[in-house]
Amino acid sequence: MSVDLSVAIGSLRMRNPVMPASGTFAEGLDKVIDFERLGALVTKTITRELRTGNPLPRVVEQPGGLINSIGIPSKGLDYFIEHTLPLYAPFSTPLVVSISAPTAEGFASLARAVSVPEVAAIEANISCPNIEEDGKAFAMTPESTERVTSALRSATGLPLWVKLTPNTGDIATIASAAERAGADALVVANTILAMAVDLKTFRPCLGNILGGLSGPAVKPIILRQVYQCAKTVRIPVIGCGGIATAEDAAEFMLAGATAVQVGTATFIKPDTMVQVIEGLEHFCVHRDIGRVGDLTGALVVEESDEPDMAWMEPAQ
Amino acid sequence: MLQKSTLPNHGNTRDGWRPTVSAETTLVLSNQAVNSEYRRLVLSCAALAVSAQPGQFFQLLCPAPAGGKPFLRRPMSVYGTRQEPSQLEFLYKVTGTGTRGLETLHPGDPLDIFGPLGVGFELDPSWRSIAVVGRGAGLATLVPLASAATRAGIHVTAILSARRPDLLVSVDLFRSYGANVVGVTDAEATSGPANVEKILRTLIAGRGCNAFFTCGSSRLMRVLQRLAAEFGLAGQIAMEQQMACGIGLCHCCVRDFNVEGEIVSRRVCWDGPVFDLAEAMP
Repeated sequence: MSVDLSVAIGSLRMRNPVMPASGTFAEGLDKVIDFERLGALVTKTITRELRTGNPLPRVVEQPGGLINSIGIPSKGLDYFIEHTLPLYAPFSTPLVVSISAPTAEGFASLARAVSVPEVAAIEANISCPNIEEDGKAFAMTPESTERVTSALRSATGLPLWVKLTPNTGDIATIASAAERAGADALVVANTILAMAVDLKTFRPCLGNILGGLSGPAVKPIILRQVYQCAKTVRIPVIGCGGIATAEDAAEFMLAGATAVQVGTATFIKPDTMVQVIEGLEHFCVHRDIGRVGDLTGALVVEESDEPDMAWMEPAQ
Repeated sequence: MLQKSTLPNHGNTRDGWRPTVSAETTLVLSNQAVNSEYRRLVLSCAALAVSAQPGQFFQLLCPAPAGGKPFLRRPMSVYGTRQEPSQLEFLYKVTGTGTRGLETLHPGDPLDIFGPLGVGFELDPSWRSIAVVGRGAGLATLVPLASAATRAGIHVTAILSARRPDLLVSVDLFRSYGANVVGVTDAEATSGPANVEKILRTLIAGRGCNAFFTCGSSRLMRVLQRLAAEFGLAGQIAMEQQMACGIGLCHCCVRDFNVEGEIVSRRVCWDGPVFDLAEAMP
């Protein structure tokens, strides 16, 4: 039996639903896995200006995960266009460019600048601080999410993916705001704000004090958020949080994800993405599923369970 | 806007592509103490792993020791390689959760390694004589370099530094490559920068020296930088930094370098771990 692994994120067709999470992928991984096998390639977040990144240490490991505070080091837009984009030219796999900016207008102008033929989609990392709102992340409130997504939508004709933060009490409302403002897909989600303390020195383990937790430790939380978002919006949801195996990916798809991103797992098993692709195919064969897309939202929930889940709705 | 079209296949490996770095499950052949601090780990591995060049490293997926579980891999520079049968050696000191896990390995146990990674040392075949200067675990990194230099007909002077004479590792190994070994230790008060500088000046004035190679001490690095500048010598340094991915993805292992007066941030795992001595900063 052959399985159709292809999926569509809006107008963008992918040969399979597996791609890297931004910040855990670079050209060097081509030494380990064949980029032609992936569903898409996703760049590290770029900014218009040069950024040096955060003070060291930038990562600290935790049971079942990793807290990072890298700080989006970026060589800037011109370097990206001249040096980074050509690195991916040899590959037919669609290239998704992750962008960040401190203002809605900054996001829009950067999106305009990277709307070039080599780019297949834009992923807006709106989990970063918004300097117009005291540094609070855009994706923390529906208002600033809607404002920045609208600005992005006016700026580009490319498929627009908006990457949400899990650090909000009501992610489904944020998801709706992004959809309303014209996002083509949602990436759910970024890392969970976290902290660790070194008991030998009494210092925070990270140079930036706070960081973002990723890895298997966050999977159940992000899976829940994917479920909540996918129930609320009609646009595709891309699941991202602790996925390390094909079984994890299948769980995310059943909960409503159309595609998945693999991040931290690549640091441990560098060929994880290829393993997930092959594993998804085996899973579908084993369960007699002809199209991997049939997994999306196929979670079996008895009607009578619905009222029991009212407790998890946010208080109004 | 132009869109990439649907692809006809399910992502089959493209023609001619082969991994040049891979994760593999190796077999532990031995794992024994070489002195009161260091242990030597010998693995049976595939041919790709023994293609490692001096100065390159591997990311080891260390087993969980009692009371801990390393989440990330641990970078470790290559101590030795052997062909037919393919074997890989590492020298390590038990310091944290990862190396405590390595200590638990027995012959016959599996160990997942990922590599070879990073940019190694480079030897110019026109050189006649080099000095390798290392301290502590940094000595392990310089052993394969001394071996390669000897094979290329380059004489090696090895200045090995440690806290005590019994902690000097690899002296016999360096000697077996024909290296002139000078041990300096804190206990004998011979490891200070002034004495190391004296030894190097004697070398330069006598046999001569084309290049410096170092690892493991920023104090010695500064001595070498000064002398290399004074005598116009080439120099390379293997540097360490906490790592996560090991292959240039995450930007956690950056260090600053002084490139003609401009401070530049580089990834130790990807741009290094071997860098131009003149550009290195402590």
